[in-house]
Amino acid sequence: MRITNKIIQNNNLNNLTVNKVLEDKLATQMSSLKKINRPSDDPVIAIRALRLRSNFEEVKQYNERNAEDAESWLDITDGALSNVSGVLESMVADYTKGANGDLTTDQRDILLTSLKHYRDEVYSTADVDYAGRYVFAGYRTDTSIKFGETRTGNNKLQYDITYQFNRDDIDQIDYVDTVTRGTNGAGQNVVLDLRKLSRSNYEDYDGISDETNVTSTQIHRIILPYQNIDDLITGADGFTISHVISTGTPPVQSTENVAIVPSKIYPHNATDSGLNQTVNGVVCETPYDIAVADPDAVVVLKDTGEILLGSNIYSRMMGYRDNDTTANINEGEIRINFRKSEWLADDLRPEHYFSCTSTDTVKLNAQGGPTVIDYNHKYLEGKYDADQPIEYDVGTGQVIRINTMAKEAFNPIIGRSLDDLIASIEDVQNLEKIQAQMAEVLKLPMDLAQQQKAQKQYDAVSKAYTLAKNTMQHLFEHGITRVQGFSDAASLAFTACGSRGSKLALIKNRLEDQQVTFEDLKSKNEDIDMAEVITNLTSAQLTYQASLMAIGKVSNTTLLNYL
Amino acid sequence: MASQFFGLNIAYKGLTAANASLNTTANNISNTQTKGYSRQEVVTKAAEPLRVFANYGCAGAGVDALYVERIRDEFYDNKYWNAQSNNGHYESLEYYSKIIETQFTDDKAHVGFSTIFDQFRIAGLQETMKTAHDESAKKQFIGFAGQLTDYFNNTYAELMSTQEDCNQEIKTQIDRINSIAAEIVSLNKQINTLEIGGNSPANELRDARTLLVDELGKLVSVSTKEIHVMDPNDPDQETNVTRYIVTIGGGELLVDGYETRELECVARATYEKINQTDAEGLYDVRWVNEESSFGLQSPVLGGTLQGLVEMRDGNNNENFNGIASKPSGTVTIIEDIPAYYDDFGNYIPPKKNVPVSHDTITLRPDPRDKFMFDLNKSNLPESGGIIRIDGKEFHYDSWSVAIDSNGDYEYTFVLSHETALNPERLGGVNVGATRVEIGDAIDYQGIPYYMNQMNEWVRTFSQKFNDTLRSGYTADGDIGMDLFTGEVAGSNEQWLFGEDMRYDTDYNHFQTTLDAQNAVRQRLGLANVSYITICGSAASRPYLTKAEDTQLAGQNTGLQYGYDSYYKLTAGNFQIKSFLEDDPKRLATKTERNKTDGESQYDLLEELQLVMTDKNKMSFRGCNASEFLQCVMADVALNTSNANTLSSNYTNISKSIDNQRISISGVDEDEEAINLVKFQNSYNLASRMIQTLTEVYDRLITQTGV
Repeated sequence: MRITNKIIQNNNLNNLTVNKVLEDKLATQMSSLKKINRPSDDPVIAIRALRLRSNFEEVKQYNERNAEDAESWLDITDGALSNVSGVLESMVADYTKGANGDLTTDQRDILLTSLKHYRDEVYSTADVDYAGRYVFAGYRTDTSIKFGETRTGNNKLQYDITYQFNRDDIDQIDYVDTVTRGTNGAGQNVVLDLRKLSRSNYEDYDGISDETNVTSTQIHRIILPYQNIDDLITGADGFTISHVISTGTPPVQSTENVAIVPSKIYPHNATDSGLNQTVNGVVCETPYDIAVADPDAVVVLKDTGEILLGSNIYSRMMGYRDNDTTANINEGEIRINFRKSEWLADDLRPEHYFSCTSTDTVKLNAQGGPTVIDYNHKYLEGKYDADQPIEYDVGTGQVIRINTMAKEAFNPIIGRSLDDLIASIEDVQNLEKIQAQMAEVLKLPMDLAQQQKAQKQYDAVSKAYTLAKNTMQHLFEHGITRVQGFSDAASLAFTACGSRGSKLALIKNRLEDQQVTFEDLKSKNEDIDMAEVITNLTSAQLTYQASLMAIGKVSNTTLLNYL
Repeated sequence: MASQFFGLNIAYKGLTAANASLNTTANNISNTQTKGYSRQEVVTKAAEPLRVFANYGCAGAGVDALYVERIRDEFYDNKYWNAQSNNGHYESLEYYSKIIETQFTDDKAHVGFSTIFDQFRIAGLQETMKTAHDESAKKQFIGFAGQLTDYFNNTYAELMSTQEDCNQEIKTQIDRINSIAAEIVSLNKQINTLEIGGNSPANELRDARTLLVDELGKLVSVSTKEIHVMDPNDPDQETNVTRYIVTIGGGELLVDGYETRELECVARATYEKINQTDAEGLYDVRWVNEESSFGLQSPVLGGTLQGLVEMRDGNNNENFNGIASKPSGTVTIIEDIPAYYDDFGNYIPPKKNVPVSHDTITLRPDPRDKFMFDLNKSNLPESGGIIRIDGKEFHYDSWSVAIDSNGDYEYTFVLSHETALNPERLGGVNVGATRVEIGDAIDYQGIPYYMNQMNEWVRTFSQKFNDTLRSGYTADGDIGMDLFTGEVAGSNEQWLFGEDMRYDTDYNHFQTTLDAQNAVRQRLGLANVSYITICGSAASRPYLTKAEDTQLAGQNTGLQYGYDSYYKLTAGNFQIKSFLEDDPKRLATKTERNKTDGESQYDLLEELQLVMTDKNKMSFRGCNASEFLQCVMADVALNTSNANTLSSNYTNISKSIDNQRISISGVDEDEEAINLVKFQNSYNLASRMIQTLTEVYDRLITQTGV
């Protein structure tokens, strides 16, 4: 082939360009510290870089934001739960003290003071918040656990509540009957209550009450979660107690309604006395008498929020028990529907605990009607526990639950048991006071007949006092198991929260590692190996200079120079 | 016996020839760096010997300088043009690929889809999940969504403007082709004028012509032919006149001797678009004053022009096509006819409310063309266009689609009024045979391909995302509403998408959809129309205005009036629902099942997360939603890297062929220096010869026998 000067120039220029392209590439790599400048330089690296960057961003979010937030939330929950489980533990100790034999008056007074203190304290931490969100409220982070405001009178808020419980929640009380009907000195038929006896009126009781009229009866009862309820709710079938059954294969949950004959429902208040109501041929003066007299009775004590059960009803309920062969269905569950419309600031909001429907006639909806909200309907489908978990993502497909529900630690029955016990101690105190008054009366100078009268009342009051102390002691005894249960539940919640915290610490550790790993992978994928690039760049520069020199020499001269 | 002065004559001839060669060398040396110059050589021949009737026979009569010839092998020219054509093709692809690549790059320097989407998907969603009640988290989430829509708007606009650049460059190239053709014709004339007289070739003019074809060859594939014209008086005798023929683009005649054809660019009107995503006024190219159009989309077009067309129109071989499935029909539509001139040039005034009969054509796509079975992948223009029925072009006003319960698609086009745009009415069609087509299948992933990829993602993603939101409830317990929508062109209003106007393969509640469609038809008084037209003016449905939308938002009124197909949504008009932007509280976070669970319930957000990360919930080319850029970047990076490689390969090939040409035609300075010495020597010798002869005559005349 004939080679002209032009060809030499062209070829050299081409080679020079090749060298320059290489040098440019290496220099760009050096200055950007990246292997590639555009995706087309190496599509595999570019696409892998996108993926690694996404992974890195995810882990960063999990680690730096989600895990941190979860930690703060868990810390706050932890503090509150530690408080409530502490209170409950002290309660267990006090219950044990109360159940232990005779208490002196002083000891009783001290117990009463501390029980009242627990009553104030147990729900006090229920409303703690994290950045304005109530931590125990499940998803209802804007709804406090306690009402916080009074909703009574014109401002009332009606709740229809389904109380779900089982036979273990039915307890028994020793009712000390101090009410007697009789004919007084003036020949009038009167009803008198020893608990209202005083030094000034004891003579009125003459001939009506004596020791034999003071009796103690065992009555079965259900403590409803609230006091001062409106009433039980009667549906189309009248009032029903329903309980869970399972039907079919595989078994599915269903309910069976047990209708209560309307005439067997006795709505009263605990303070009612002198009813003079004949039930089954027995004249009953108090709601408690009715529960004893009528085995089919359902006596509702609206003020104290209790339901007294006749013996037949009780034994029927005791027959409802869980069938172990159906794992997800609790056949022992019993349901009672009741309504409550008046609320105090310290009352717990039912939506955090029960399947319920609120009807607000104060806040109206867009159509001008009352606002009706149906809460927790799924509780009735047997999904009571798996409920409203707030879970933060802390890994791909990995979540950590951060919230604890109010119902796990702040059971409404805790307060109700305390109320019951406080009332009982106060009853004992009252009777003790009356007994003391009567003792003083006995020391007064008086004639024999008078003395006998006073002695008789003193004996009656003493008996009532002794029985009431028994009742109180029984309440303490029965209460120990129950309060121990609450305490266990609260410590469980406390422990669960703590173990979430330690699990989170582990996760965070791992996320920390992952973040570093991804950073590393990213760098391996995208970043240059400096030593390699510098070596290549030096050699490229050398080549470039060599080619420059060669071209310089070649194109410098032609034959013409020598002619 | 030869003349005593014969030698002087020979020497004179030698002197002249050497002089001519010296001059040619001078010319060569001067043109060493001239582009396209072929080195020249004086062709000499020993002169006819003189019969001198002496016993030594004939006497050599010296040299004859015949003519100056350029040294060139046209075989290499053809090879060079071929390589240049490929070179031009891939160079323009390389240039535009790099621009597109920049649009889809995502790194520190250029924030792209993945960064923005990760921000939306990770930071935005996670924070909203953790604080589902919080308006500011939702505001941030929606803000990130807004960045996503902005990203698509910008990228779409950039691609469209790149398409416009391509289009403008096509026009420039076409103009250049025209002017080169004109120059070639003028050179043809000059060459023939010079060459007709004798046998000396018009070297410089021929070089100039080759140089022009060199340039043309880079713009478009070219081939030339030069035929000698036969003597009309003696058909077997060639004349010195030649006919130079240039064809381009694989056989289209451009120059034939003294004649040239001219190309012109005609901008498409809005109602003539091929793709929904096309920029306004793309050029069609055709021959001036001829029926036939120029084969711009031909795969053998070659040169820069092919690269530009592939970039501008490349649709990955997926153009709308099908086979007629029903006989042609007619519909009568009441419309206003604008004024026009009829075939005889008479002015026909405008008319109002005239019943106009339109032809319709109905077709079914080939089941193998999957892209025809999902309106989210459709790139049919909204404003009418040109449809080819059995190779004949018709304008159409609108189209509609009907989907039966098997998921089979049947498209119907309403052709334009015959006097206005379509010169003749559609005759009968052969059901099952007549081929219907829009645009051409261009086997390259050009700008329309990328724009349509964006559209498909935007539509599918919006649809899945909106459906999920729509099924849920806000923290306050209100009904959820769409987050993504599009702006209605030419207004400030936004599209309202619903389930009853859904046309895509994933939508599986087909029967309910049909019922819902029927309900809408009745409400709109369209009970007798068997198709719902989703584009064009023929039965365009009113959509909800922004005010109505806001008013109806969240109220479960059962009103589904005026919902639109997601086909209307493009990456260009992609937007955040303004109502949500103003009031982030309306972002749904809970599922219906748990709507009274409280403000921090976030189960719907978990579903949204799946829409973004689970390919079973939303799939784009078999990947999940967040992998959009991975898919598209793979395309664009491979195409660019291909174009880079091919372009540099063909540059090298061109250069090496050019070197071969230079090897033959190029001026070599050393060679010319030798020539200089050589011819100077000849000249000196010839001159010395004359000197010698002078001395001989002197001896003979003045001293011999005197």
